[in-house]
Amino acid sequence: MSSLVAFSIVAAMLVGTMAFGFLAVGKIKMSPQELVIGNRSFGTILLSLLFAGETITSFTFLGAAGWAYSRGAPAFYILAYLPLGLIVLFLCGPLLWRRAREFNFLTNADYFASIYESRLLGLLVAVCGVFFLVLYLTVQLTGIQILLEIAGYGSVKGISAGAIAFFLIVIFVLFNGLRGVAWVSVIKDVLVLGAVLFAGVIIPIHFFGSPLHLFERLREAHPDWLTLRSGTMPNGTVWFVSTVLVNAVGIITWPHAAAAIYSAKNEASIRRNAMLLPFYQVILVLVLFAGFSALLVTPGLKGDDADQSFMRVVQTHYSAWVVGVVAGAGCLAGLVPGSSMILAAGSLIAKNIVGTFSQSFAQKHQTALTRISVLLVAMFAFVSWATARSTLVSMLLVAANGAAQFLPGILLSLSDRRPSALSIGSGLVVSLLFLCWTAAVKLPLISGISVGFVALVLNFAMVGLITLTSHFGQRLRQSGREPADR
Amino acid sequence: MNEDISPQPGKRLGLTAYLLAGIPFFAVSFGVCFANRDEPVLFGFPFLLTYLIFWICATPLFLWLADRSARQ
Repeated sequence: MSSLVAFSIVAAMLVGTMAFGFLAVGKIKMSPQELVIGNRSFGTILLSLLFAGETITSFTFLGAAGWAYSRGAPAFYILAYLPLGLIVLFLCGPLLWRRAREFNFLTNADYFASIYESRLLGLLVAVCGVFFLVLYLTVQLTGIQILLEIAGYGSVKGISAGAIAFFLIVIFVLFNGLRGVAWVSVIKDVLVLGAVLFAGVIIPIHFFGSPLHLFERLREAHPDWLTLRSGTMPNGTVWFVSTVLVNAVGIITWPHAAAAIYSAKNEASIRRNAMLLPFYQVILVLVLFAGFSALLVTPGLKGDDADQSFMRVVQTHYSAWVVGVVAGAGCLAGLVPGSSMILAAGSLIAKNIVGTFSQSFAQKHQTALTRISVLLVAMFAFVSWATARSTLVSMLLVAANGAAQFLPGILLSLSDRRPSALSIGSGLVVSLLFLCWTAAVKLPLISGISVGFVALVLNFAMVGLITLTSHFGQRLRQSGREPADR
Repeated sequence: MNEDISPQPGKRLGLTAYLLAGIPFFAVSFGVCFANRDEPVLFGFPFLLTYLIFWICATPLFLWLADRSARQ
């Protein structure tokens, strides 16, 4: 009975949200530009909704509470990297947008291919981008599965329910594009806000009288829970700073974030969006409260189960409709960013991977090709998620840290003397090989620093080395030629 | 397409803008090393959390000032 109530609410929320998206987008004619970047027409409000939709995902929803539950203060990194990312967006976003409009870029691979005048580099960026996006999509699928299993009270296997939810969203993306994603974010952002207020305010009041008593109780039970360990210890301050920096640059390096930047109407709306969003993102504090409450109410969850901590509390202590609403909001928090990731991956395949091999074909059928690629990406992500979960989990860090490795190429393209495509490409390859190696030997930290940050340093160093070598080589060749000329 | 976008010259962020935006940036990243304390407890909140919430809410103010300082 409970599962029926909770499940109907989740289903009604998903279907209702998508119906709203279909109505909001209406009969806008779909061109590739409209599908992938909303025809570069989003003002501050739509842009803020999109960025809020993309940055607060089902991972933030479940993961932040899970980290607060199992690790304590290190969970604060999820709170810290988002506003930091917005500062990066404020500074770099308008410059990237200006170039994207000038040269009519749709994807971040377009940016690399055109600025560095190398279609091969564009292809490399596109292939890596699709790989990272598929991995990141599977995180969202796992989040949705957890929420649906909770809403099913043990009667439902999440895989089949997740499959239905996922393919609903694929159909939605195919017809409504990025504009649809931005519009459904209205509902998603409001519902997530509601769920988070419930989880972070009502639950602590219910069990401890107020959120403040929550911290008193927490100090008694876990005295070291509210501060980071010092220096280079695991999850210490050095880890915190390096992790926060690597995650923050994601807001300009992830392919789907690039699409969101390109979708802006003008530079001012990007800046205003960056000024507004910290006020929304600060609500994640409440998710941390929910995780801390769960630690005191139902202690003892280990490993991956910690991610379910606060949903378990909701399931045990509240009625089925509450479970349904919270789980529905959480599902939307996975599906909305998921759809923009699918869209970004689809456009990378259609425009930059197929386009590299047959430009005329890709240009002629771009909308259809993008839609087919979206379907393929979604199917591939789903099948690999359903069959090889454990392999994916171990590669996840490669994706999260890997997306940050596009940074040198983006940042240095803004300087007056941009490096060669060769140096950017080799920096990217070396840092990604390094990340794969760390994943293979299960090494998350190097003397306290997150491997993503180490890879980024390596990446910049490689770019510098190749630039210097080719510069030096050129000089040598010139000086070698000069005597012969004389 | 896109006829509503007039070719407006972009704002150029000057040194002041970068410095202003840099303040919350360093506070939320490197500043955490110095704010990693539970005491003083404000309204029951651990200091580290209060510090982060303060800077997140102050970020828009700094970005707004940075935007204002930029020449058109």
